[in-house]
Amino acid sequence: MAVDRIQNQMSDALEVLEQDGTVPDDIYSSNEIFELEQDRIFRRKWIPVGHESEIPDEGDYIVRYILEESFIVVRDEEGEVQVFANECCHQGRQVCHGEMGNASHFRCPYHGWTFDNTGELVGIPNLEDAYQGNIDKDEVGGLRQPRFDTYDGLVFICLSEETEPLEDFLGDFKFYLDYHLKRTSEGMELLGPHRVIKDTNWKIGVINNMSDHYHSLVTHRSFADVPSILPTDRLEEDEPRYHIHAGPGGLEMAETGSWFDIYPEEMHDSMREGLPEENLKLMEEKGYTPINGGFFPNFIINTTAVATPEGEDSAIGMTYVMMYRPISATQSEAYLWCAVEKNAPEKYKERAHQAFVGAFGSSGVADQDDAKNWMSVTKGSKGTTMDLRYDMQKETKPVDWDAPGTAYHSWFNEANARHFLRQYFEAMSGED
Amino acid sequence: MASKQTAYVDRNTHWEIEQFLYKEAEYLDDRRLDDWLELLDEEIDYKIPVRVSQEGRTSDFLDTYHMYETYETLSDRITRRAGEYAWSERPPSRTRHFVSNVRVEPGDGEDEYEVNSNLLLYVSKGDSGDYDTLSAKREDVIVNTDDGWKIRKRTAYLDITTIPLDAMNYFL
Repeated sequence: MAVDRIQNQMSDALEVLEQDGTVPDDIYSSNEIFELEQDRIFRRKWIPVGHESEIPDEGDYIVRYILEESFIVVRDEEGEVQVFANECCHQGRQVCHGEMGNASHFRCPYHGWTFDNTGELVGIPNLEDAYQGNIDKDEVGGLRQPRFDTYDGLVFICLSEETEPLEDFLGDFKFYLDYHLKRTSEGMELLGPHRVIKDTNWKIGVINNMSDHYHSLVTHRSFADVPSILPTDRLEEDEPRYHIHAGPGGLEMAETGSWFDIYPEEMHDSMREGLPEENLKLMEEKGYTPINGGFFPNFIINTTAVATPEGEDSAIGMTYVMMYRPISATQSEAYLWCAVEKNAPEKYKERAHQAFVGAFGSSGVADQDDAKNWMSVTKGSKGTTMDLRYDMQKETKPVDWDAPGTAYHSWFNEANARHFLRQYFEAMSGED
Repeated sequence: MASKQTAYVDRNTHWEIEQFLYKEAEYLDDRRLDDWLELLDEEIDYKIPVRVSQEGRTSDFLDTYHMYETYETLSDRITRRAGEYAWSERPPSRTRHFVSNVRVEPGDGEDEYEVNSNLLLYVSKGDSGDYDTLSAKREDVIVNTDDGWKIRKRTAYLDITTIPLDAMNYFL
């Protein structure tokens, strides 16, 4: 049976990864492998789909996807976030037609069954004639609710009842996610998303962002040509770097001194209040700040210093968030957001947003050169299989680290890529 | 009741502006980006808003942009593309800007015009037979200066929500 064969291959690949640090390149293009990924990963793991700040008011909703399946993420009249399958419980017609909007009720256009935004079935037209009273609305139930949960405002869905709770899934990575998304007392808001369909396998970008500083020197060399979009000095700085993996994620941290330099002074107090104490301590005592990272399977986050606004002395900090939705083995939809502190001054928000657009959004100069790599790797992986090397610094020992996770003190290291791929092969072979 | 009358401009002005937009398209498609930059006013406000498909709200655009540019950032994008390391444009995309339905009305200031046009952009890349298209409505403010016609403001409203290209790497 094909599934067993692929599972065995994945099990072998896990062993080869551990021994040699290499992986077969057909994981980036094989249709059979993608079939298995859908079941073993996207229908089992916690999949982030959006952020609470995208639906600030009662009745606000967004529609998001896991694979081809669409879900309504809505803030109900009590202000609570709810998630429903976008499917009428009568005959399955989608009840929500826009990508976002505001509604107290969702009405199925097929037969008119109506649901409120807590998912409850509140109306069946011609009830007496149609069912002669032989239907109990409570028994029928409302819109189907998948497992969902939130962390740092991120909304996750899990299509399996057996998977561990979200907090356990995120584990030690929560500490690092907090740096990016729990940064002020009022939290963050996400602008966007920009949606782009790219001819790339969904894994490559995530692995890249979790682990790969090595590519920056070549791929992003053109940053030097765009001073108004990105600062030129980041690539040349020799600040110490750490590669850390924790929970399902991995990231890079740099010893930059202080993070606060790149945020307006009026935000500092709120940032000190917002960040958990342990995070603040590591940052203030050691001067460590997080940069790019992500977690398995499909999430990317990056807080970085971008260009110096005219008339100001220092670069400003900005955060971007990205998620991949696989469409096929070789095509994915990327969702890209700019994350800013809710209570930041408007001027700063605008500048951060502009920097996001220039560097990391749909037209961003960083994103387009990255995308070119990822598409090219995807294309190259079709045909005869060869082994790809993720063996950089494979024998290097972790360093002592005063925070969660396993840390390596190096500029270049593929430990985080191996961490992603290990989880991937474990999930695919059923060894997780 | 009569609908609002369109305030027409004289035929010659209309013709000049139309020719100006065609020339602009030619510069973009021939990758004469430095020449294209010359057609922009230094105060240019250049935006491509992100469209969404939504119900129950008044606007179907988000408060974010595929491009949100000033003269300086546009100039930087062009400098970058001319450099050796703009990998996403190696080899360069082939584009064709089709400009139509040009409507010209007097603008707020002297020698200033509000110009609407439709745009169809065709893009093909590399050696495959694939191509992409983007369609948009453009709202421009175009001024007649001592240095000739210049674009002072452009907002390109895309008809699509999700960009079918790997990056929104084109000036519309």
